[in-house]
Amino acid sequence: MIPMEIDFILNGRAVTGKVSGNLLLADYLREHLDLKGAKIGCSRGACGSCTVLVNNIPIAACSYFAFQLDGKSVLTIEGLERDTTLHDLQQAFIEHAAFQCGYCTSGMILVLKAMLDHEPNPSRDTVVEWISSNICRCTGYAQIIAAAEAIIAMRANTGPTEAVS
Amino acid sequence: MLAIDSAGLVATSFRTLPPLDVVRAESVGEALQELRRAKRPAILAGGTDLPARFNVGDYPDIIIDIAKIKQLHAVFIDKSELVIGAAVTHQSGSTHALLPAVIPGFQEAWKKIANMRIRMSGTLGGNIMSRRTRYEGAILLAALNAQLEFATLSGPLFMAAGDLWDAELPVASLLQSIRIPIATKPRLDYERSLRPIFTQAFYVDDTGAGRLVSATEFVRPHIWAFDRNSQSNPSPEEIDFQDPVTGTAYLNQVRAVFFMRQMTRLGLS
Amino acid sequence: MSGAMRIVGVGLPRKDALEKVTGRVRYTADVDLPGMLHAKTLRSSRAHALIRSIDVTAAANAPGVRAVLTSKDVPSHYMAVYGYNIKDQPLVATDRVRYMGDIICAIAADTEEQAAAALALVSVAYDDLPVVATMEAALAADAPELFPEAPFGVVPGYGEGASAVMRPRKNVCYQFNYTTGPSSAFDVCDFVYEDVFRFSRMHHYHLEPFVTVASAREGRIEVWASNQNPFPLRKELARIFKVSESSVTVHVGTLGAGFGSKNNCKTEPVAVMLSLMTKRPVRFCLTMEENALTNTQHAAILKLKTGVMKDGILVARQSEILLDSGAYSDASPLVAEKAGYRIPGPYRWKHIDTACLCVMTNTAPAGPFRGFGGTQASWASESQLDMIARRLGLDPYDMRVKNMISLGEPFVPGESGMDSDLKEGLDLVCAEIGYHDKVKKPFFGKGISIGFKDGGGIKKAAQARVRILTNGDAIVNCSSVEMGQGIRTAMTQVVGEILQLPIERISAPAINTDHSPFCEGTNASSGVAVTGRAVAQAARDARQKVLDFAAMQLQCDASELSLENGVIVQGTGPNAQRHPMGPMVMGFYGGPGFEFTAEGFFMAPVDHRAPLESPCVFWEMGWGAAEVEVDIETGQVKVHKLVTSGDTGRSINPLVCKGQEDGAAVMGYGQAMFERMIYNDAGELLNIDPLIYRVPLAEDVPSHFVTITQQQGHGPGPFGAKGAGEATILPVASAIANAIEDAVGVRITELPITPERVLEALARKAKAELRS
Ligand SMILES: Cc1cc2nc3c(=O)[nH]c(=O)nc-3n(C[C@@H](O)[C@@H](O)[C@H](O)COP(=O)(O)OP(=O)(O)OC[C@H]3O[C@@H](n4cnc5c(N)ncnc54)[C@H](O)[C@@H]3O)c2cc1C
Ligand code: FES
Ligand code: FES
Repeated sequence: MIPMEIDFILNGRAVTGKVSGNLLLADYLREHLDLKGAKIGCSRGACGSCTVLVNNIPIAACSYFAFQLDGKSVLTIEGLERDTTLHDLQQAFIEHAAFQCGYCTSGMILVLKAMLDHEPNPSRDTVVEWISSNICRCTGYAQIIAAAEAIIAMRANTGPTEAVS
Repeated sequence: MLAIDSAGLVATSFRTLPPLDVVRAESVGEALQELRRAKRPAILAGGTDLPARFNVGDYPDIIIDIAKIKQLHAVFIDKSELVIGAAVTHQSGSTHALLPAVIPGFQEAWKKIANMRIRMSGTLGGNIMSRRTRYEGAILLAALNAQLEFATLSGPLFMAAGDLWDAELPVASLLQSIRIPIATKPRLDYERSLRPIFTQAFYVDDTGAGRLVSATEFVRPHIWAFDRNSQSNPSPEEIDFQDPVTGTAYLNQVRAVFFMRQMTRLGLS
Repeated sequence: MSGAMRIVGVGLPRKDALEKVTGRVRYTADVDLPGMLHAKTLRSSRAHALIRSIDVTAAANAPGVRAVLTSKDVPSHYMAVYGYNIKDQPLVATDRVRYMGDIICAIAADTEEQAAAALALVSVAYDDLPVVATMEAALAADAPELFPEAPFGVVPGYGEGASAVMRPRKNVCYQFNYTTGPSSAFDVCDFVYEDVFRFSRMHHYHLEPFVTVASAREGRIEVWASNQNPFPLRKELARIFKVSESSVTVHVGTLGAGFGSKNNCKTEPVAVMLSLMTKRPVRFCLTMEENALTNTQHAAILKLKTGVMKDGILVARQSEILLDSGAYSDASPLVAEKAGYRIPGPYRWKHIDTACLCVMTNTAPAGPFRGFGGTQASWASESQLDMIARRLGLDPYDMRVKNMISLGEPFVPGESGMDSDLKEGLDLVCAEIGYHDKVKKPFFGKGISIGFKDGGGIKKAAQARVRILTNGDAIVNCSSVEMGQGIRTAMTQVVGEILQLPIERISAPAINTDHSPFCEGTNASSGVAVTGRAVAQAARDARQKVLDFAAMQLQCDASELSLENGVIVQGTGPNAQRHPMGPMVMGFYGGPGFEFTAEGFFMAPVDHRAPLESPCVFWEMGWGAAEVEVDIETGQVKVHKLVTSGDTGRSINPLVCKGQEDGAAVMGYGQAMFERMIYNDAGELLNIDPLIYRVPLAEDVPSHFVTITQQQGHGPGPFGAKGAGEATILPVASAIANAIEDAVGVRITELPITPERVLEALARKAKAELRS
């Protein structure tokens, strides 16, 4: 049960960390790296409020061991802003009030980021399919969908913006 | 929650997980060796179900991560079988170019499982090895008469997917691949509109063999095999479902209705 | 205010937007104090049993353990039981457990892992008692008594026609009654219909768990709580732990939602007790499974007897409502009041007679849930209204219009007048689904409903403070808890409008009971309509202080001055002179500057003629309409269209209001169609797993889902606002059930509307048709 050394990319920066086998990514981020943007709701992979992107795939950090990061790249909500400029998804969430309590928000934004990276021009159904990965108990989803659709429309007009990865 | 016989319930979770060892196996052989040494091993595939075990206090003492075992990620045709590696994710498997041609209907069915987040890391092997009634891999694979190929210390072990519910597996057994016979030109229809209350997979092939797998939320799926050559008008018999939430009469009714609709969709009636 | 409003009524970005979209927001679940310990509990695995003995010896010696708490560690001078009117829930179980999940023992350790490992070493000897898992079982003649000794409790004062009693019969902790008009009204009715409705129980499923961090020493208690009522919590903690109330500090920041559950004591007492024992800060954070065992909605059985004339005029209604209150009373008496009071719906009656009983069972305690008894009442009332209309051969729309209370008309004698035009709202939702289109597709049907509740709370008092700083920036202090509903945004918009100050220059800090103005709690959709009035008054008075000061400096009359973005404007038009506040304030008070502070207060008037002793602050109306298609072979119901509407009076922030209405409607939709806690007869919750307990996902929402926010302008709050947030949960289930009857002629009287229930109803109908 010796801690393992892992190398990974954290929000764009190369890091080396020491983690024990029973440490899940949610606690690693929140307790060890002080990145509390990933929230713990159900501890069972169901709600998605702990979602982060690992190699650009949405992962529930409560269901992913810290050691699994070795050799991979993780993006948390804290890594989405670039030099204090908000990502267009964050901007759209603000404009459409696509959150209420905000507990699901980090996860929802990251799921949508992964969607846009995988499917640059998604339909409304695709948006619904992707955000059905996570639970929002507050909003009834309409304003989250509106925020996503606004971005899709905007990107369609201005051409593909450079995706932050 | 962990139920302690002599005391009560404790709400365990990943945050109460005791120290454990980790092995990132590079080969099936290595994984088996570790499985043998451990008292309470847990194989880690996509990890989308494993934490549910922590939440009921089922703590492993060693995690055997199988992500690095290349052969578990392959999808290919081996003679008359479609072979799906145990660690193939729902997303990569269900979008695999081979599927539509060899088993019409399988792709559509598989694509409906779970949600994007789960599909991108959850594996077919992890789905059936979770052995949970409401997970759908076992339903589809039982209908397809898939064989599960396990690696054990005493060599490979084969088992029909439908037998897994009752099977006592050797401690050191690793699901390696899922082998689906395709020589008889199987076709599948999966009715999922009532999930989680009830779902039903319907299989037919060119030999006239049919298989209906009916599943409820809380009890294991029921498999009914029939032969269209000897039974001109097959109709499913009533089953004593014993689901704790949904009544048996209702389940039998929808089983029969879906059966007829699936017959139609498959062009059998 | 003269002229058009620039800040109120605009969908400005929420105050909490940046911190929430960047993940920088901190919830109570994120609080981390130096030296903090972690608590875990052992909960009963029996639904009903006597505790013969508890052995914690091994646990106490386990690694990392700092304190083990069982009932014998609670000092005898504490009053270690809590609840709203009735103090019946022990801090930890004493002689018995009353539901699966009752806390028996708690441990504080260095880590959660150590605490959980130590709890596994505790042993408990139980003597099982018979279990009553349902209300029927609890009310049976031979049922065991769950509270052999009467807990301490009080019945609050009621007004005209209303009354209540504690323990009117076995396993009923409270009964609320309301009567008006002569019961002889039934005698003149052409028809009297009796119907029974069943309402399922939901889990709040807020994503931030119940969590508290407590730091307590003898005589001093400080907690960081995820709680929507900080001041009542302060009082309750002071009472339990026998300290002066002024020695208790409650901090409340941002809540990861609550939907009503985060009231009164939940995780707080155990955290405080363990902190007292260890003299260290203690964090007690539940898992989602434990949330489900801590507080739930009330399942209900509602028996309605309604007398009508043959032209559809409603005359008299007698109701008996049973609320499944679970093992402890929690807020059940208050929910009973409201369910009972709201059961007549927004219609005219000659006679109303209601009894609402809180039935104790061996299941998780039930408490406040969005809608607060109104959801139960609207389900039954709006279903039966439709049934009666169809029995009389009337259109359910016409029947509603015929009987509905008009704008300004009191709900019952002594009550305040209806502050929404009910027909206007109904016509809106009807138009949206094409209710009056006469073409009827087979198996398609349309239904409507009017959800009804009083809003703003009873005798609710709130204070607020507005401070205008040297340069005109402002701080609004009030104790409405931000739990997602956007109250901090709304309050800054109200202040911003009054001070003509952009909300970027206004802050609304987190709550600390040592400094924040008193507020009874964040509930009953009362934020804007009650606390908002105190805020508006404080803002106006603070503004006046600034103007008075400026008038003194400028040697003019204050009425010549106005305040705009931190600038004193003297006169109007092109000749107006602009004096920035900063130099003027510092010129008088010196370099450190000054604050102009004013307090505001609001409390609904007490009036004994009002049945609940205070006329309703505002009426929270929710209109709904649905179009469904029924598969008559499988009983599956597809909701093609779901339309709901609330009347905010005036939306302080329309985006925020829309979000509230969307969210409430989808919650109602989940309850209508599938969501429910499933208990077996042993009192075991079968779908406790957060994956198996089903809540609506985006893919579950009907594709044609519309919410319409009305702003009828009759609200009592600032700028004509009412409250929002609960209205649209009310009409959803009944609108869908009504649409099903329209589609296939069967009536579903039990929630959720499972396909199995629909099919059973269809089979019953077929059988009946065969017979006749
Ligand atoms: C929100 C959510 C929604 C879901 N929805 C659905 C759904 O709609 N339908 C559905 O069917 N499922 C659903 N699931 C279940 C989902 O977990 C599975 O579909 C997934 O496939 C599990 O695979 P995994 O690789 O993540 O399993 P893991 O968590 O890695 O493993 C699961 C179990 O199998 C064992 N195991 C894994 N691989 C092997 C192997 N090769 N040999 C032996 N044992 C092994 C593990 O030890 C563990 O006990 C859902 C899950 C979540 C959290
Ligand atoms: S906390 Fe990780 S999915 Fe819910
Ligand atoms: S905003 Fe509260 S859960 Fe989504």
